[in-house]
Amino acid sequence: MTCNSAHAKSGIALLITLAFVVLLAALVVAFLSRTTNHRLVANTATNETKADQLARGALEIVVGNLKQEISAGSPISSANILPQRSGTPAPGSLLIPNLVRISFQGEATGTAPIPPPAVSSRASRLNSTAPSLNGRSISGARWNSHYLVPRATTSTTLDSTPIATFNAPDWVLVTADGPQVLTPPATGAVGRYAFAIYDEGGLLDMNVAGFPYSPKSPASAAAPGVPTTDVGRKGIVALADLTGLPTSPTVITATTSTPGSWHSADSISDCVGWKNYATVQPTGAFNNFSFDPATVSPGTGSRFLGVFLSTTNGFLTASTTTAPGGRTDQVVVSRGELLELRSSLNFSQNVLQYLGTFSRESNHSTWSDSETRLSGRFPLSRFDLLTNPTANATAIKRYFGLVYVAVSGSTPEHWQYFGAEGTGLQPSIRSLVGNGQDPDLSVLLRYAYPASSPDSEIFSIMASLIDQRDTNGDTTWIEYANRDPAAAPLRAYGVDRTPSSEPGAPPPPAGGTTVLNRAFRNVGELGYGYRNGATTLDFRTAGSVDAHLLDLFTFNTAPLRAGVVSLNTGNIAVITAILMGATTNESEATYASRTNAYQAAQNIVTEVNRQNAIGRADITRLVSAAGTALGSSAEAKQTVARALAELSQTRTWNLMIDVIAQSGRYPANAESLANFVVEGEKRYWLHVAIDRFTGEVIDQQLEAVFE
Amino acid sequence: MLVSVAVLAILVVLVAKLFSSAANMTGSTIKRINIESQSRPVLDRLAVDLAQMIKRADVDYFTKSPSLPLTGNDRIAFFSQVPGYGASSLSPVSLVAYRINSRNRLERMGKALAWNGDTTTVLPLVFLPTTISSNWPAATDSTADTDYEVIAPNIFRFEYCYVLRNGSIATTPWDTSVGHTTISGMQDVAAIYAAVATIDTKSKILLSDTQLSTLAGRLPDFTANSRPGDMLSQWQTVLNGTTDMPRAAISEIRLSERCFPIAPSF
Repeated sequence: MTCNSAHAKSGIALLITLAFVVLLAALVVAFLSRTTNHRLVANTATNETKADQLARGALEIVVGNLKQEISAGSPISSANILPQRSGTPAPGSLLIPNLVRISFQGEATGTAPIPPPAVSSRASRLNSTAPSLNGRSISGARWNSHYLVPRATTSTTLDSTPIATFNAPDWVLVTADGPQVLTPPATGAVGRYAFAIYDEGGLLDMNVAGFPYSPKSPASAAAPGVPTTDVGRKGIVALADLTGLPTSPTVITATTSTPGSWHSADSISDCVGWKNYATVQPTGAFNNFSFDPATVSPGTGSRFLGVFLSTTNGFLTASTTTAPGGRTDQVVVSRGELLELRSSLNFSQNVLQYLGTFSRESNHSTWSDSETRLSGRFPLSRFDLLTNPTANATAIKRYFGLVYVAVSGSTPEHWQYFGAEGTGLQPSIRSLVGNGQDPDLSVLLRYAYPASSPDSEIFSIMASLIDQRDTNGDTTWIEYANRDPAAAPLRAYGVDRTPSSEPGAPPPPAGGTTVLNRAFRNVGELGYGYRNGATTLDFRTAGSVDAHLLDLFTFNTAPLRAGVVSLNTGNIAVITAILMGATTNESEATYASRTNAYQAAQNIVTEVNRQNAIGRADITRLVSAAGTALGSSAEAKQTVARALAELSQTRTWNLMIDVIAQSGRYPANAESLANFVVEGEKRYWLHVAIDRFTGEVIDQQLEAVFE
Repeated sequence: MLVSVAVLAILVVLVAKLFSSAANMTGSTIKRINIESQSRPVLDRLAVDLAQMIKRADVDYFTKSPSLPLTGNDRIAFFSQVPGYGASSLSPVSLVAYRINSRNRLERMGKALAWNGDTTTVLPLVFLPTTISSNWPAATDSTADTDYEVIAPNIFRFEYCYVLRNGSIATTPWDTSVGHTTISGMQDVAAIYAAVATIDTKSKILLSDTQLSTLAGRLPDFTANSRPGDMLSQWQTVLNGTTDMPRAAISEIRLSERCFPIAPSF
């Protein structure tokens, strides 16, 4: 009995002790668990912050390298006007028009050095698709989540997998000393980043491009909701016809036959309705907007043109117009939003490779030393002053150097050349003097044309341009002083519908004349002007002396503007959309068909790929390359100049830098570069505009990417 | 038997003492964890919201500026490309706002916005001249809104300022030295510097809402001449000198700050 009682007490004591031990152990475990979790959370936050810093540092390095490339790339030539390509598909394989460069191991290892003056990315021999020690990798589909690379499939299933010629970027390994090309792993590595650079400037900026349709469906009946004459005159990328963007195939080359599937007018109208909701005031709701037919005025079409034919709006901000209910116009604020918009409107993923959300252009000429000599381009709107010469006499003298002489007896109205500063008839045009000048038209043309072009020829060009803009049919002449003071003044004649009957006036040009008698809508329309009353200005021959005019004038005068496409775009589809619907014959009101525009675009991009354009003057070369795709007459051929000159630029690099950075480390026993342990990751899309001629970053937009 | 009971009693006392000591040792750590488990997610959330903030000259920001000095607890409201509360099929842009409510709790609004022209019941992102306050007054004042949620019940003080691209710390989100007079898409702001004061759940019980409000009011605002760390130092000084409230609660208040990069400056 005593023995049993003792055993029972011992047992109770043991149980109590065990209970306390278990309780204590549970408390300790709970405490340790909580602190461990807390430490993990803290570590995660720290690693994410490290990755963020790494990504931002990588962007600084990449942009710094681009600026260095610009600095070292002097003088500017067709070989260095664009950022050098590296890591892109080899010649002969399927090209990726938007891809400029990736972080590429071949640059540092010497197997494929980056062409000078570009700076090596210092990538190591480690591709971003290779799994890390803890299984982290970046697939091709993830790299192409922005859809800037053609998709491998035309399937409607959501899939961003790029075409096979896309090489995923290689990792740039970062140590305490910065980016290092490592062969064996280094325990001092603190992270890695990889990047790809895309030419966003070669895309159609969704914040400007596209006009509405009415009716918008079925596709066979779709018609522009703005007058075709306005679409034909272009002048703004809003009048690019986005139904010229193919949805299949995904890869368009110079030898691809005319696609059979195109972006729908329905989807484009829905985008316009969403974007220009307050200013255009469509009916219906999101994803089902309706617009007035083009013939209705005032209507949605006239309101649309009222916004986009502004000569001073740079389209960098949304309109300040508000609609009932406090709604406003919209801007596609990021590429991420564009992807979401596509998803909501359910249009083809395949057109995303042609659409951008960020573009900037410093509206300044690039020809010769015009960068420093001129304060800016000559606004075409100044020609509008000529329609009321009496009221605008002072401004006309300032901007044209001309004084109006009204009809007097049997002497028709005409102009006298005083020069902007003169007080009487001048015998010659002075040269441009000084920098940062805003010269009158005569001095500007004197600057643009070679010395071998006599002043009389320049006066005749001025007279013919006045005839194009004024609203009467009488041939204009400009009177200027003879160098011999004793001799009678001289005259230079323009060309209008009614030939001049004055003694010494030239006969009407052979082949008839086209006279606009309206405001110029784009720079290319200067090509309707005549030289010496005989031949039109030549915007169709490579190396033409008239080519520089394309660079020295502008329809839109905003100093910084959005929506101007890189003339060196490799996107045939983008050029097709710009050319499609352009006026090929003003008198007969004929327009470029999609098929013809596509063929011309193929020829143009082939020529640009052969030799990059360094300024708008190169457009004459591209017109020549386009051949007779848009017609065989001089006017039809120059359609390319009229469509492209106002809508294109070469001076600004609009790039999207896609960078993925991972913080982490190599363990002490790491055997290969792939044995990196990833601890944090961050991705950014940096949209940046860099002036190729000054190296200045003129704008940037950082877009954090959360996947 | 008596000996056994005595031994057991001694053991119980010893174990109780052991628990008490362990609790004392871990208590302050747990309180700290409690505080940091609230402040860190809030600052992380703010980091995401600010990283996705729409930075454009043509959208409105409700932020501290000379015309909106915001004494005491700060507010901030802006558009950000983050998910928000609302029906499905909404745009990826939301209206985000932060404020300390009347019960000294940090609230976050994440109001999903519609696509433009989609519906008359949910507003879309709007551009200037339409402002946040005109369309969503609750984002800029104290009125209730169902899209507010208490994100950190123990954060009772929220303050922020700007780190400008020229390196200075300012309460004006633009660089007057270069002649700028508007926020213009935060073009001059390199980073936003935010600070919060947090009290742990147990210590908060010791203070009334009125006391917490009083305490929050004593913690000074950022001033234009502040340097990094100055403000938290001033806050700590105020806390150390607070004698009219339970010391046990005041001593458990933790101060946190973080710098949120806005955009690179190339």
